[in-house]
Amino acid sequence: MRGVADKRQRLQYAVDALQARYSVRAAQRGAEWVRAPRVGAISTGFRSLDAITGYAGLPLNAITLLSGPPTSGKHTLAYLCLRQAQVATPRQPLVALIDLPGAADPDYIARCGVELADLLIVRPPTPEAALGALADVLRARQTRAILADGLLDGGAGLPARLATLASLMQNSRCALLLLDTPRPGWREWLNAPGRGAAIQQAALHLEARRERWLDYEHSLRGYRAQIRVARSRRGQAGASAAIEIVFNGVVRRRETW
Amino acid sequence: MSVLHCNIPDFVSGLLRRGDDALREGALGVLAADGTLWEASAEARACGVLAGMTTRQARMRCPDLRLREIDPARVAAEQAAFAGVLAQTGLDVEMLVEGAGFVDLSPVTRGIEDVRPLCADLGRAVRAELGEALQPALGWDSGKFTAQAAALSVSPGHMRLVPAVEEARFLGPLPASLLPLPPLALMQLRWLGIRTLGDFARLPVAATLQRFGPAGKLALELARGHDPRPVRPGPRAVPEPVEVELDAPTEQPGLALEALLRALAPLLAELEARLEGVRGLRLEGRMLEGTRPQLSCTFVTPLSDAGALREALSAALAGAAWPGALLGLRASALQIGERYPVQLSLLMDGADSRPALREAVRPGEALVRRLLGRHGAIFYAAELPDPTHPALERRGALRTLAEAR
Repeated sequence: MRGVADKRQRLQYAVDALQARYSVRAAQRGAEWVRAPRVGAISTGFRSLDAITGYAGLPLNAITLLSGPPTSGKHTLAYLCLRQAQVATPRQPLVALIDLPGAADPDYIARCGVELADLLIVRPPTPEAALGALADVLRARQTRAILADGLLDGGAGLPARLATLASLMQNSRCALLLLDTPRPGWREWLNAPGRGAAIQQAALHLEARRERWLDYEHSLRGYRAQIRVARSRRGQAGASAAIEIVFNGVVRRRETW
Repeated sequence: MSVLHCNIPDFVSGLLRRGDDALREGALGVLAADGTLWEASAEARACGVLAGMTTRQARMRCPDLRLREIDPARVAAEQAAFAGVLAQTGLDVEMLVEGAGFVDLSPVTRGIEDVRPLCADLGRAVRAELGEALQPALGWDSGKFTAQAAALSVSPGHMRLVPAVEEARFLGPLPASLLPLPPLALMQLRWLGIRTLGDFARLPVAATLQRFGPAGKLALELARGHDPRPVRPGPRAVPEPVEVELDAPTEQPGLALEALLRALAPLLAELEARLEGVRGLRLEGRMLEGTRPQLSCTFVTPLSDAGALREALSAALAGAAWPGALLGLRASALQIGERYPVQLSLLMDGADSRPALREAVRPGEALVRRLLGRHGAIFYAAELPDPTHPALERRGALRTLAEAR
C-alpha cells in the first residue's frame, strides 16, 4: 500500500511541476479534466481552412487576426467570411466593416456575395475613433461579424484598448476580424505597437500569402493563396491550407488541395 | 400586316412544374447541358437570377433556388405540340424560341374586331393542349416587334391588342432593353441615357446608323412601330459551313477558335444587321491523328457578337477536351433565329421597383441612430447605383446614414 501511495505522491509532484511551469491546463487528472466549452464559429467557406483553425472557422466571441501583404487575398477572404456570416444567420444578417483606409469598394464587396443592404460601413477619422465606434457596435450586439481594416496602425494607447476590446468580445456572439498588413521591422519598432498587442489578444492568427496567379489562355482568372495558422488557442500552429479565388464577374471561392 | 405573338412565359420551368407538384412554389432554375442556367422562373428572377448564369452565380443570388436539368426531348415534344396548335389555324407560323411564336393573321383579319375572337380561340386551344400551367399571353399588332412587346406586357391568360394609332403611345414608355440589339449596344444606350423606346425612337436615323450600324437603323424602325420583317414559316436556311486550316498543328484550341471566329466574322455581321443570330452551332475538329471529334452547342439566346460566341465556344471546347493536336476546325450553323429581348423580366417583374425597395432597407438603422450623436456622420450604406458602368470606381457608392438621425 505504501508503494502505491508513494507513486501517487510522485505523480502529484510531477503534475504540480508541469502546471507550475506551463499552465494548469497543461496536465490535469482525468477526474478534473473538463471538456472545454464549445465555441461557435463562422465558417470561412473553405473546408480545408476551417479544418485547421481549431474552431471550424472564425471563432465567435474572440478576435481573429488576418495578416498578409497586399494582393495576398486577405481582403477577399475577409469579405467572403462576411458573406458566410450573413448566410449563416439569416435572422441577424447585419455585418459591419470598419474601413479606416477608406478603400472599401462596394462593387467588389457585392461581387464577393455580401448583401450590401445588410452591411454597415464605418469610416472613422482615426484608429482611436474607430476603436470607440467598434466598442459601441459590439455593445449593441446586433452584428454577427465585424471586419476592421487599418485598425492596427494606431498609436501607443492601442494595446490597452485592444485588451478592453477582447473583454468586450466575450459573450458578444460576434466574430471580430482584424486585417493587418505587415510592415518593415523598423517601422514596426517606430510607431506600430498595435500588431504585437493584436497577436497577443487574438484567439486565432492567420497569415495569407499569395502563391501564384491562375491564368487561362493569357487572361487572369484568379489566384491561389496559402493561409497559414500562425497561432491558434485551439488548433495546431503552423498548419496551412491552400485556397483558390476565381474571378468570373463574381468572386468565387474554390476548394483546392 | 397583322401579326399575333403567342408567348408562354417560363415555358421550360412551367413544364417541370406541371409534372411535379413539389416544384409549384419557390424559385426554380433549369440547367442546360453545360451547367449554366437555361431558364429562371419569375421567383428566381426576382432575386436577380438570369439565364446564362452559372450555378454558383445563381445560388449566390438566390440560396433557396432549386435546380433541375433540362430534358431536351420532352421540351422538343411540347414545343412541337405548341407549334402544332398554332399551325392548326392554317396560317403562316414562325416559331421564335421555346414557348414563343408568331402567327400571320393577315389573310383572315381586317381589323381589331376580327382579331379578338380569333385570339381567344387560339389561347383556349393552347391551354387545352398544354394545360393550365402553360397558359399563353397574346399580343397583336401590325408588326412583329410591337406584337411581341404587347404579349410580354400582359400576364398569361390575357391578350393585348395594339391598334395602329396607339403604337407610339404603347411603345414609348417601354424599356429600351426590349430592342433585339446585342448586349454591348444596349449597354451603350444606357450610358447615353436612353432608357425607353420613346427616347430611342426620337434619335436621328443618320446618327443611329453611324453609331450602331444597320442593326441600329432597323432597331430604330422597330422602336417607331414599323417592323418590316415578315412572318417566315418553317426553319430558316442555314449558311454554308465555315472551315479553317491551321498552318501548324496546335494543342491550344483557343488559337483555332480565334481563326474560326475571324472566318465567321462576315456571317456574324450579316446576321447582326438583320437582328438575327446563331442559335445552335456544330464544331468539328480535324485532329493530327486523323480523327474528327464533334461538338454541338445550343445557345440560350441567338448570338451574333464575336465576344459572346468566343466565350461560349471556349467554355464548350474546354469542357470537351479533345485529345491531340488540331489541324483545322469546321463550324456549321444548326439553327438561325431572330434575336429577342433577353431581359423579359423587365416588364413582368417591375425592375423599377427595386431601387425603391433598396432605398427602404437601411442597415442597422436603429443602431446608427443611437451612435450618430456620439460618433458623428461616419456610418455609411453601400449601394450599386450603376453596376455596369465601365469605370469600376463609378459602379458602387457609399450613402451616408447621417440622415438616419
